[in-house]
Amino acid sequence: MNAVIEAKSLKKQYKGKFALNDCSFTIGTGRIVGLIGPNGAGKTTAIKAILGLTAVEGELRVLGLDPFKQREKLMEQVCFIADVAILPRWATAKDLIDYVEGTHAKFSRERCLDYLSDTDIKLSSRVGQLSKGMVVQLHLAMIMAIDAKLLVLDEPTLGLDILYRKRFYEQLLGDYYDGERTILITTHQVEEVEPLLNDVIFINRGKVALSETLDALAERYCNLTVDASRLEQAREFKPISEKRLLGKNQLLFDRADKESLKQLGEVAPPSLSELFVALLS
Amino acid sequence: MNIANRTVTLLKREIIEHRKSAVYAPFIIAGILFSLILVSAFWNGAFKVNDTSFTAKMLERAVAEKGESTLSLIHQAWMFGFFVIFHFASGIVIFTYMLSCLFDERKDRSTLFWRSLPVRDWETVVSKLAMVVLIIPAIFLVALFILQALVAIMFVVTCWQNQIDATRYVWTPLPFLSTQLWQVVSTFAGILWALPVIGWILLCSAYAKQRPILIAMLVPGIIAAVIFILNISKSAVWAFGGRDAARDVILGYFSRLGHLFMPMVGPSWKESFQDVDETLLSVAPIFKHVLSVDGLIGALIGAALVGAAIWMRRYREDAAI
Repeated sequence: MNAVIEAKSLKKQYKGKFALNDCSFTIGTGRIVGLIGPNGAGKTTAIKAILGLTAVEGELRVLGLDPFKQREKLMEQVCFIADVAILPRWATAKDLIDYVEGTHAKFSRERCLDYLSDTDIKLSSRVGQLSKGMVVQLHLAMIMAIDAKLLVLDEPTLGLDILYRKRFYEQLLGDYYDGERTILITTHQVEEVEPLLNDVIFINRGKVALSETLDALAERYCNLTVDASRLEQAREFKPISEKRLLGKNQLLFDRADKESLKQLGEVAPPSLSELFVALLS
Repeated sequence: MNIANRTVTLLKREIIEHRKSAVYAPFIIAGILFSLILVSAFWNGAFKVNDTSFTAKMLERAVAEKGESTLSLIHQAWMFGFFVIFHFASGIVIFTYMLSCLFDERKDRSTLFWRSLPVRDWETVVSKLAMVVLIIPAIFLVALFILQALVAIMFVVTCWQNQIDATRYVWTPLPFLSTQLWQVVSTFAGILWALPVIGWILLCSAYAKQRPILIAMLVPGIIAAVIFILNISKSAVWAFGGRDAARDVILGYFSRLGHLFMPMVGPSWKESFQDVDETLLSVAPIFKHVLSVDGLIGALIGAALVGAAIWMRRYREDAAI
């Protein structure tokens, strides 16, 4: 696996508090990766470091470049959507498309206009007059028209309604992702991105708590739903978390013998949000 | 990516973002002034073929009282009047542009979009500097020239209407091209002279977390106040050059800031009013200011401050406020 991002022992402090503390991970080419963590976990600092917007201690290479020192060169191959509200409100769609076309060698105006033709956005539409969802559509249309190797999305659908969120990810997967591009997503809406992801990185208190492929997670972790009568037997397999659910007990196991667990109750793979809560709470 | 295309793209972005103040405002000012002049001319009967005509009669009267050479001065005077108005207006536009150009993009977080594209920070800051030292003054000058040309045409029409010799009273004495040249030189020399102020305000815009005007004005203002109120004498504080040098730097800041708002008028202007033989505004005093050691040091300080603004945009941690 060729690494698009290689991070080793990243450290970053703000006023004596670690935002990143010995944080290491690797992201391979053509993967869709979720960088997931609670508020203040260090996700945004990691993203800023990857985009060369902040200096960090440790070793960080993105597409073979030092992002902080070679930021401009990196930006020729990396695209970035911070959140829904970073397009300048005074600009029209045409102004922004003209700007990206004039500054980015890998931008295709035709492709961008093609994407926009499926929306209600006109070239004369001013960003300040568009709804949040339409602003994201415009931003996504411009980003998707750039032939980049890495796309970084930091809470890209924050504040959008479910229809826009669904459409955003559908477009991303259907029209943009080609198996060679790498996409890194940070979000709180874990359930929505789960079907998209190949890999997941859980980050907490500046450290990587888990870094796995989704397939490996399904192999490694399992949920067991048992009656109260079999709870003690199930506990002997040392669950990593336990909760009451509709009168039954649900236990989460790491690397447990699934065949034995099936004798006690219903075994199913945990969702990403269940794992997130169990591992990071 | 073609460098010319890229430069045009960066400047186009600035012009579009600030089109109201940098593009519309000078032409609106020109339109308002010309409208006022037209109304005034009609009010005074300038376009009526009778003896009450104001402007044409004024020219005739001036020649009768002070001789033929006074015509050139009269024409210089009204053109200079417009120049002062435009210079002041462009000073306000440039000043507010500088304060906001590196601050607003952080305030509205659009800096995250601009910086997501492969544009070097120095390219962005230099494009903003180009707006200040080149584009905005040039647009104001174009609007000014159009206004002056229209007023000159109005004079000619007035002469025709009053059967006065337009060639004698307007065409020949009107120092149109030489005055335009003086206005261009004076404007850009003033901008060069104000480079340290421009660099400082751009740095304040790149640095401030809120209200860059407070830092841009208050910091030099407070230092000046401390120097003058406490009458600080030579001491270790001013070991590098003494109190006078420090005072000169601070005074120099406000003096140069003033040049953004008022034209750099050499003594020749006053002299030319006293000496009716003088028909052309001299550019010599302007160059004496700019091409001095003081001017060179100022330009270097300005360049260093612009460099600091680029560094601030490139390396500051809190890219968006």
